[in-house]
Amino acid sequence: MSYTSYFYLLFFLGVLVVLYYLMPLKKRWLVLLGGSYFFYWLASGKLIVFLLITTVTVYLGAIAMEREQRAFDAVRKSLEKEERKAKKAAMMCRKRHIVLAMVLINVGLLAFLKYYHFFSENVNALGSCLRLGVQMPALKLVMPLGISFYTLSAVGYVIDVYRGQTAADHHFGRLALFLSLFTNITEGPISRYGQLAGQTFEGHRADYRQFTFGAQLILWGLFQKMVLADRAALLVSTVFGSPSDYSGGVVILAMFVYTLQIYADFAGCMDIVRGSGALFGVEIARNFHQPFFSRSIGEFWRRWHMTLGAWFKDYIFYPVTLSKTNMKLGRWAKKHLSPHLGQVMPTAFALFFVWLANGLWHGAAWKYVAYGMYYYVLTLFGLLFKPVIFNFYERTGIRKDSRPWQFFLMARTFILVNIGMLLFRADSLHIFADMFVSMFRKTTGQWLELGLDVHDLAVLAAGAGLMLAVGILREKGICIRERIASWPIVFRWTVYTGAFCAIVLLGAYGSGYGVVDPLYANF
Amino acid sequence: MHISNKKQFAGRALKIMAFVLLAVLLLEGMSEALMPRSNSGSGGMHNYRARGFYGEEKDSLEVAAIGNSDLASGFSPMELWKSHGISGFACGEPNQTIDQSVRLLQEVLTCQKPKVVILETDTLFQENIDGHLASLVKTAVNYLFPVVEYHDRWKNVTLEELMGKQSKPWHDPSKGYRYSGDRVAYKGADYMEETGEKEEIDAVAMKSLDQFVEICQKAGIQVMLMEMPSANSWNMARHQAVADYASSRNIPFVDFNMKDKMKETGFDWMTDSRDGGNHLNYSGAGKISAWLGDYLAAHYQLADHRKDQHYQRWQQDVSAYDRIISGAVQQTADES
Amino acid sequence: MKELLDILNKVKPGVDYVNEKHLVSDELIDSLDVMTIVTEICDEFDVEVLPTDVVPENFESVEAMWQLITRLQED
Repeated sequence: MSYTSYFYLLFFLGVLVVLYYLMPLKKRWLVLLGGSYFFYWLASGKLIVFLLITTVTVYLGAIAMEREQRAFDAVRKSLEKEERKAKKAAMMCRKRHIVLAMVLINVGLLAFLKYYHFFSENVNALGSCLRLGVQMPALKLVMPLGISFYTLSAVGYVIDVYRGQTAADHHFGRLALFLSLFTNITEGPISRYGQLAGQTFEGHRADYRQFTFGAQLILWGLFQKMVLADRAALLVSTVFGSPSDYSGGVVILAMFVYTLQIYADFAGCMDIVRGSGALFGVEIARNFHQPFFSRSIGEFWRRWHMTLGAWFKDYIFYPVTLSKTNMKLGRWAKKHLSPHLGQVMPTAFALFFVWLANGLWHGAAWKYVAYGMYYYVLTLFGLLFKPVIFNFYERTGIRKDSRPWQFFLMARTFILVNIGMLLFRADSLHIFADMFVSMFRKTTGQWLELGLDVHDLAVLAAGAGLMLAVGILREKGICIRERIASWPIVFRWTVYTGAFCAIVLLGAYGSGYGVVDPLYANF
Repeated sequence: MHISNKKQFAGRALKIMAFVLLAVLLLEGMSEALMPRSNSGSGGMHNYRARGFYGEEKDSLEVAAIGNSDLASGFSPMELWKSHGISGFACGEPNQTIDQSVRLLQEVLTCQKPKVVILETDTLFQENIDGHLASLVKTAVNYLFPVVEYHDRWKNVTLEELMGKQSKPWHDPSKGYRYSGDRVAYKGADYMEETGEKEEIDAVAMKSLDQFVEICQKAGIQVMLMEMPSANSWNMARHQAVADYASSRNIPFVDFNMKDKMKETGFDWMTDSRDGGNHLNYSGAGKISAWLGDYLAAHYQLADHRKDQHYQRWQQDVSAYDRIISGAVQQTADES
Repeated sequence: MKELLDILNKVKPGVDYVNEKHLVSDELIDSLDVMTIVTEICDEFDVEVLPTDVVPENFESVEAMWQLITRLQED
């Protein structure tokens, strides 16, 4: 079910909202659970069994670990120091086995369904190179909806229980709701148990302000997705569809327009999702924080797809960096290479896995691995050349927080990100290389024959300008919905109805436009 | 639900209702502004070829056929005029779904009072990506608020159109028939083999079909079901489904894919298709239309208008039509 | 304390570690810096830092970091 379809917006949300507020407070979560499973069933049918497997294993695993911990805690006081240490070690070992099993089962399921084809293709290619007679069979595997998202939420939950940061949830329904919530299941955000589970389970009283703010956020999200993203898609698919026909300024334009498309699409859908949650009093995590105002790649990934970056940080970066192997590596580097490298090594090592995971998470193809490695290399540069950069600032006297310099850093980051997007969208690594090189050649292709006429281009430009203005206001900390809500009713309603009319009139839907699936929906 | 402050609740509920009402009014307004002012291609109407009937004299059509592109390629009303003086029109939209057939019928009835309406039954099984229910909802929304269908016209709506200028409707001398002189034979297998199966008509589609029949019956129109020769979209299972429906409602059903009809019409897949089994060419259309002309004249009380003063324009249309089918001119969509 | 300040200045020079009390929330050091600091701390003070210890509160100021170190040394 698409978040921009009549069915979702009018029927599904409408019915669910009515049912939710009619139910007694304590039972309201059942409406959300029923709605979420119904939503899932419509989208993936029988594949719902995978969601259930993840939910059940993680539920049992968390409780088993808690049982181990409780058993130990009950007897620890009565034991001698030596015995206590031994028992603790044994308990931790058992807990570790459980959490490892949980991670292996669920990530394994994800890995199998998502990456088997990629893996077998490459193994077979290698095999025929080495002339080994065996070939891995080609399996037709379908991915259940949102598996890349809910798996990470589930694994995060079970690791949090392992670390003692969260108590195991004994209420199966609450955990099931946390993992299946219809607003998050298609494109995320990747939610944390601590942030989401409690508030979705609690019934919420109708809050007029939250409800209307949610509806307004949905309008803004629809505007971004339908007017801007779906319109940009036409130009992007024309140019990326036959890249050899275009070069120079046209490719550069297509690259920028794709960045606009993917941002308007993803952030727009996230706004629809957050707005939907707000209708039920549920606050859903943000995934974007004006990413194009970032001054470095590191900052960009803290502002773009925030929940993914945070997940990798907490569940891959930290554990890998702090692992014994990594520490040893650092010490070795300090002794045999240089103090600076020794300092950088553990982080650099861990970051490799983070970026490999990030790249692969986005897709099962070498192009995506390259995407991850692109950002890894950029990050590594920043790490390795830190002393050089520091000297640069000392020598030139440039103040890092001066306006022009900040602007320069933002522009530089923006360009680097766009190149990353070019790689992300190009059909293959090879085509990316061709397209990148072609940007420096003479322009071929007619500006008005790229799938959009002059009216469409004007709408895109105006829309991009509007998004920029909104971004600037948000950077200043202004909550736009609150500001508008403080205006007299005539002005407020002009804005709301204006947005509504803009979506109806300017939306890129209907005859003459294709259906544009949300870009992050097949993960 | 517990309401703490009744007055505030009422005020807010009213605000929400007022906003919704305002949104509906705006949809109406935008629809008024952007609806095409004429049924021609350049006027911006979608599927204008199926809507050429707006360019006919009011209540002048005695036969209206509704269906998809198979209909528009296979039924030439001018042949009926030339042989029997029957005034007919072919309203065929590509990939038409049954709910769109109902909608088109309603449009025809706003300006015409046919005695016979023919439904090409392909539309019953036409399912676009989102399924029958989604299609029904979409058609309903487009009907209520045409702006949803025509919203793109903001790019080319003129000031005059906004001021309310109406254009002269486009008049189609071919009466909705799409001429083709191409010939690509269908050489495939026999697609009408008896399998003993019957394809279930989707429940939502069935509802639309019932609605179609009801509208005709209420207006005193005789309805008829028909299926053009179509190797790519028809088979015995579908024939069975429609035949059962037709017999249960006492509606005549003519299936040109059946062997006996093929013999009667003299239809030949080697010479009568323009694209290898999907649409008919002029040779095929001629045979089908000739058979239909005889059939309609024999079974329904239809007048011969060839000497009728009110139908003088049709005589002029004959010459224009003849020029098209002889290949002398191309069919266009903007003549008045 | 002095060793800690040395580490901080080596990892990310140019920040006034003595006086700044909101190193993380004011974005004076980022998560990469924090991890590098942590690995150095593990080496220098021979303690084991867990992922659960890597929270902003423990790195907002030198004092907070010193508290973390002493706590870990006691365990």
